[in-house]
Order: sequence, then structure tokens, then C-alpha cells
Amino acid sequence: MADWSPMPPPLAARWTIGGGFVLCFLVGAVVFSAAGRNHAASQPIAFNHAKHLANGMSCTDCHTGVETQARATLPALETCMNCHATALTASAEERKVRDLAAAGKELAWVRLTQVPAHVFFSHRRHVVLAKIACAICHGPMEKATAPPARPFREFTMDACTQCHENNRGGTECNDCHR
Amino acid sequence: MARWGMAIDLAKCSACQACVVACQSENNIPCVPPEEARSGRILSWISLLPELEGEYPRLSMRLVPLPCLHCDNPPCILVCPVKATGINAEGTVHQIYPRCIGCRYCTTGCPYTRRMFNWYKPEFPGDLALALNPDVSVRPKGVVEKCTLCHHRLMQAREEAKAAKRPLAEGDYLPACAEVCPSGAITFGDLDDPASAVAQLARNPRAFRLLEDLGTKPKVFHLAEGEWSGGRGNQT
Repeated sequence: MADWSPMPPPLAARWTIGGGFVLCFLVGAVVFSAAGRNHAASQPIAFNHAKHLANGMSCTDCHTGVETQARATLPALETCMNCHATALTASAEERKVRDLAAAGKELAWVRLTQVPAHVFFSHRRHVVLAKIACAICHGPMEKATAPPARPFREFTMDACTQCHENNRGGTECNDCHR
Repeated sequence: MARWGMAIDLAKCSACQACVVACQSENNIPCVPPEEARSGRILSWISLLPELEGEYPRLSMRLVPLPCLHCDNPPCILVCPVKATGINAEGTVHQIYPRCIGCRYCTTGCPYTRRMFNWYKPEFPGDLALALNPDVSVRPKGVVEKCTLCHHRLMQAREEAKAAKRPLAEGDYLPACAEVCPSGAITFGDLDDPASAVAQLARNPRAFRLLEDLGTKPKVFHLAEGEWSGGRGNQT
């Protein structure tokens, strides 16, 4: 309509319209950037990676699938109970493990890192065969005293291809797409 | 570098359709309502092509198992406007579903009608939903899909071979159809390895390729006697 009006709208109206657009943009930017960053996962237990790794454990002790299959797997309650069936510390978080076991419940971990359904990713292929350290994708977990709130890095096709090109991994479409 | 190919011996094939069922369950191919299937909207990466011979009352029907022929010169990839499909170094024609815009040029371009369009949201009624293969994605509505020669099995076989520190041996990698065939009509392997069973069958005088005169150079060979080999097979 505005294009066809014989006279331009008055200055005040122009400022209101312009200001409205700017305001909408700013509000949108704030809201969406917050939504993008703030899906901080709340895990059932405030698991301390640093403490476990400092006590001589390795990633594969709990993420048992890493060296043998495509999925790394998140540990079942049973894995925790192997060590924590009796209290090792006075930690309230540790007690939660035994409470869950007593209630016959399972640990409902929130899975953070996930590739899309049309991508095939094998941990075994990357960790055992290509000998890539866990930290390259998952960050320095030996420093993480609380469960990570978000993935260490974004798993975009760009990130995958960059590493594959630099390290002569396959770059055929079908090497990853399924 | 291998060049994966297949030989289907029509003298051994009993048209039992075990390959069709195996493919269906291996590759998470959704079910289509019967009325839609009748109008040609059924999805099956390998199906039996009915070929009528003779005239009534001396009428007989020959059923030819027909997967994607993985042509060396595939017409389907030439017409794709978004490069959602291509041929890799090993000669496998692939389809990248998230890139496909569903224009269906490739379904028209394929002279063997081996490309299928997902007209509906994929449905897996009842227990079928529990039997989905986790190594294969479920394609969304609106994209074209096709036989991948069970590429996920190749990835798996490669991984196993590499873990065992040995080269990929013949028979390590078989698509579901070749593995399941009860009469051993489907032979699969590396066409570039002259010692492989499939390469020997491809050189057999009974071997022919469907619509060979189009210049598509399929990597799937059919084997038959008489007018089917060389003569008739090339013309149909």
C-alpha cells in the first residue's frame, strides 16, 4: 500500500515504523541466541568427570561401546553400581545412584552429542582404527567437574569434512551419509 | 579400488522374491497402502520385472530380479539439478536424501525405473517399527530413494577387515539380496578383480546387460540362455 500512496507518511510515523522493525530485530536476536545457547541439559546426576578420571578411570570404563561399536553409549546404572554399591564418599549425588537402584529406576541421561539420523558415525572407526583422541570432539573432560551443559563442538557437515579432508578420511558422500 | 557389481543367473532364479523381502527389511523401506501400490507408488529397491513370452495359450512369464543396475554411465545423475545423486569411485550410485528436492527428474531419467519417490510419510505398522535397521536412515516424505548396494554393509565389512588387519576378502561384503538368495542366483563382488566369481560370470557368454544399447553400462549382469542372452535381452 505504501508504494502507491501519493504522499510519504509523516516523519513521526516513519520513525515509529523504523523503530518497530529495529526493536523486533533486537528482541528476536536476543531471544533466539539465548534459545540457541541455553538448552543446558540437566542430567540426573551432577557427574564429576574430572574426579573419576583423576582416580585412574578411562573413558571406555563407562562409555563401553567406544572401542567396539558405532555408539559410545551412556553408562547404565549397573555400571555405576559396580563401584558405588557401597558409599565411597559423603556426596549427595553419589547417594542418588543408590536411591535410584533401590527404587529400581534407570539413569535417564540426556544425550548431548548426536549426529542427524541420515549420518552414519562409528566410534570404533574413529577411535580404534583412526586413533583419534576422545578430546578432539568431546573436549578436555579431565577438567570437567560438572556434566557438560552443551556439546563441546558443533557437529556440522563442515566440521566433519574439514577434518576428513585434512586427515585423508573418506570424503565420498556415502562414507557418512546413509 | 573395487568396482562392485552383481550377476543374476536367471536359470537359477526361482522368482521366490526372498531378495525383495530381504531388501525391504534391510533398508527400512516403508509400507504403502495397497491402493497406492496399485497406482505405482510402491517402493521396492529390487523387484521382479515381469516379462511375458509367447501368446495365449502358449503363454509364459519370466520374472527378472531387477535392482538398481549401478550404471557406469548413469543417466539419473546427469539430470539431478542439485547434485543429490552421484557415482563414487567404486562405481556405486548413491542418493543423498537431505539434499534431494524431490523433483523426480531422476525417476524419469532412469531407463530401468529403479528410482522411487516417497509420496507419503514413511509408515511401519505394528511390529515393523521395532524391526528398523539402525544402520540405515528412514527417508522422509518427498525424496527419491534407490538401491545403495547395502552400502552400510560395505562400511561394516571394511571396519571389520581393518580391525582384523587384513584386506577386504571376497564375500566379506554382500548386499542383503545376494546373501539371502536361496538358490545362489545372485553373485556379488568386485568386477575389477579378474579372479572374482562375479567378474568371471560377467565374461560368461550367457551374460547380458539390460538395455545395453543405451550406453548406460550397467554393473549388474543377467545370465540366460538362448535368445535372452545377447539378442533379445539387449533389445527389451
